[in-house]
Amino acid sequence: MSADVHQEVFIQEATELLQELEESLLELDDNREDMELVARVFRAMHTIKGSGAMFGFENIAALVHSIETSYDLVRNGKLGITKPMLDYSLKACDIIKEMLTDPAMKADSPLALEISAFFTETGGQAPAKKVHEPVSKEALLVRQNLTTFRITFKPSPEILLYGSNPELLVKEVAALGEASVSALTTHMPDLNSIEPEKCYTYWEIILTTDKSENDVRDVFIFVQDESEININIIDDFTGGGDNLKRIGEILLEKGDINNEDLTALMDERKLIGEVMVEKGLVSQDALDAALTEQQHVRQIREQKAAAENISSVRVPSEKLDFLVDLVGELVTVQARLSQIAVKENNQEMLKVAEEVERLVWELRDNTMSIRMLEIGSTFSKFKRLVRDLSAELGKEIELVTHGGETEIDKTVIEKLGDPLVHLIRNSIDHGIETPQERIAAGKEEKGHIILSANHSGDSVLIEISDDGKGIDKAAVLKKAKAKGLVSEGTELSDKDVFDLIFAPGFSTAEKVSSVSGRGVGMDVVRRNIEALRGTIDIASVQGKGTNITLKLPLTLAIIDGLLVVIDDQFFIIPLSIVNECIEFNEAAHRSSSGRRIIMVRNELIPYIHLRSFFNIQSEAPEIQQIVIIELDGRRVGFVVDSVVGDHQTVIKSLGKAFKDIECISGASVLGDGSVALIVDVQKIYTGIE
Amino acid sequence: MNIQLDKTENTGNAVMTLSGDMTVEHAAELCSALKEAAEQQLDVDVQVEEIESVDMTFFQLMCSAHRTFTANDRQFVLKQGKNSLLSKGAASGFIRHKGCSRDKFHTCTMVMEN
Repeated sequence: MSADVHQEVFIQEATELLQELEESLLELDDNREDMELVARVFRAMHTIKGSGAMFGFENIAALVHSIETSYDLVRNGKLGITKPMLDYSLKACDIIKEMLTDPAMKADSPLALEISAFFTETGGQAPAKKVHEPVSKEALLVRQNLTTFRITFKPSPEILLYGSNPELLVKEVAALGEASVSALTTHMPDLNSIEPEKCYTYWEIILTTDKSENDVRDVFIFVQDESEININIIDDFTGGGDNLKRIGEILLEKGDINNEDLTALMDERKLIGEVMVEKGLVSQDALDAALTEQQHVRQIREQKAAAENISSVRVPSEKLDFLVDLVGELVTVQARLSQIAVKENNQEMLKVAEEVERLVWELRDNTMSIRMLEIGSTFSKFKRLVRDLSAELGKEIELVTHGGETEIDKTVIEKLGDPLVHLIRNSIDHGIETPQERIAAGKEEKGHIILSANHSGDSVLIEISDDGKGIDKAAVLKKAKAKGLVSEGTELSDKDVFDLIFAPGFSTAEKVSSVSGRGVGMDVVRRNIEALRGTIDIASVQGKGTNITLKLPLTLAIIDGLLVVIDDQFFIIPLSIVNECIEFNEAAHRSSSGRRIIMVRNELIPYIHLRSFFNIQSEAPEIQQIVIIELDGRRVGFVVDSVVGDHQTVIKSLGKAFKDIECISGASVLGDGSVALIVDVQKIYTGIE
Repeated sequence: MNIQLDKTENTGNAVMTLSGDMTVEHAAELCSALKEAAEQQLDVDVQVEEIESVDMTFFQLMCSAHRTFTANDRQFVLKQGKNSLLSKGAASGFIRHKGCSRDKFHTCTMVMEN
């Protein structure tokens, strides 16, 4: 590998780390005492600094150094998290991102210097301390030399008076691996005899680690003379999964109960721990500690087994795109093979064609699933957006996300970012009121934006809702009339009024802000969503809030389609919305009023002739087919000459020359090389509605 | 640390409100307040507000007070802010599944509220 390739890998990993870092910082803003988050921030900073220096990004290493030192102090309980610290850390993330794209950029911009000065002042002067790098649970569990220790730490009652903090020691031990900590207060005196600055607590720490017993003892090096420290190995992962110690065995081993008492109790056949507590043989504290130990060992073993079974490979996304393209070509060739086999009526070849078809379907499904990503990674980016913009506008807004685990094709995710940013900005700027306005309206001071995703059939529904002031329908109508979009006296439904917002250049904002209000947004949002073969819907109640729903396809590469023919031209209708196909005789169904409506099992269904819609001039056959589709809960029929059958549709774009053609969303190549056009059913449906 | 003890008229109950730093620097002050409440033979509800920081001395005092009150058949209940407080103590192990054998009212100060 050349240096450039190494650098490339670093940039890729650092970009991912920065995203993680930003998420952790934003979470830390809500839970400033969460030491696990602090450890996560420190680890990310440490890795970015270390790898940055290794791969020639000294600028990044220089910037991160003082920040990392400050978070190390936080980890060790010597510094508290503050808002300015988080603000500067987030700004540092932005600068690092710029540095990754421009390695020559120096860490001497005014902002970079301000950040460095802040962190140097905050923590740079503190003495260096040997620290144990926390290891992630996943990384720990796949290591080979794991041991689980039971560490009993009974500090001297005067330990606090000597200036040592036993809690820090306990946390330092816990940071050596995966730990369960129990503070035992069995010997706590009552208020009359307690000396509040003395330590009456002792600790039991069950620690699974790849460190040695000496490493653990090192933590207690300065207090070992005045403390009682016992370290026992309780599991070294050599005995298989079904030899977990029972509670009685653990308590016996620890000396909390003797053998005779235990044997006598075994006959009573009650839960042994409960019996021991009832009989006053062990304290509830001791039982709790033993239960924690048993649970810890069980969980660690299960997780280790699971972690060892997981393996993953990092692959550049371009390679995946290429794989999908190849699968698309394979689907086309397979269709051709099947067609030839049918045409030749060669039984051997038909068998092979069917086998190939089955394999290609499996390959297609597998390949598409590889490209599926959790939408949560996109959601987390918006936390920063909401934090920064709400501060800029003097509003208090919390972003709540649900369904981050929902999977969707990576191409869709990539193209979804801009529309979502626009919608969230609108919610912040126009939707959520200022704290004063909210209080006056009897609402909670803090506004909420909820971003959620969930699967619905072969689509993903993404909702952006807020509890702001909602859309003022009267204002929308007034503006629409002023712009000539609606004539005076026209009665419009709520949906029609909200649809006006998507008109080009429409905005009801009184003033243009840096956030939104220029009126160039919502039409572009709708265009982008429609380009993804999706739909956008608005629902709003004035004074209560607005809810915007995006419906998007799971994938943009290959879909199941229904192949139909009009004259000699093939068309594809997405199979997911097709209800049924029925024979259609125009003469028999022509109504006296001339309305195009067909009765199907006592239901009146409107239909349109795709032949005339696409202006195909030839005569229609006497018997045609009507394909009935369902959209938004309503059914409509499309009349075609004949239905060929289902077709794995590899979607190809029509290219720039045909970009203005409406109601056709793409094309697909058939087995014989001819082209089938993909009907944009949504657009036709909206047009006739 | 701010400590405020408010007695409820005619009921023999009191509410102790704590806020600020609950660390070793303020342990003696808290201990005195708890002793004073215990001497008055009151049932005490503790409300914790705006915790800046907390350490083991606080959990020890809560445990000691709970034992003292319970032994005198008096209730000592950590009410408001309990879970948030215990989540801060969890890393040092100050959290329980169940109270000790002396916890006859099931009000152990280290058991999370549901």
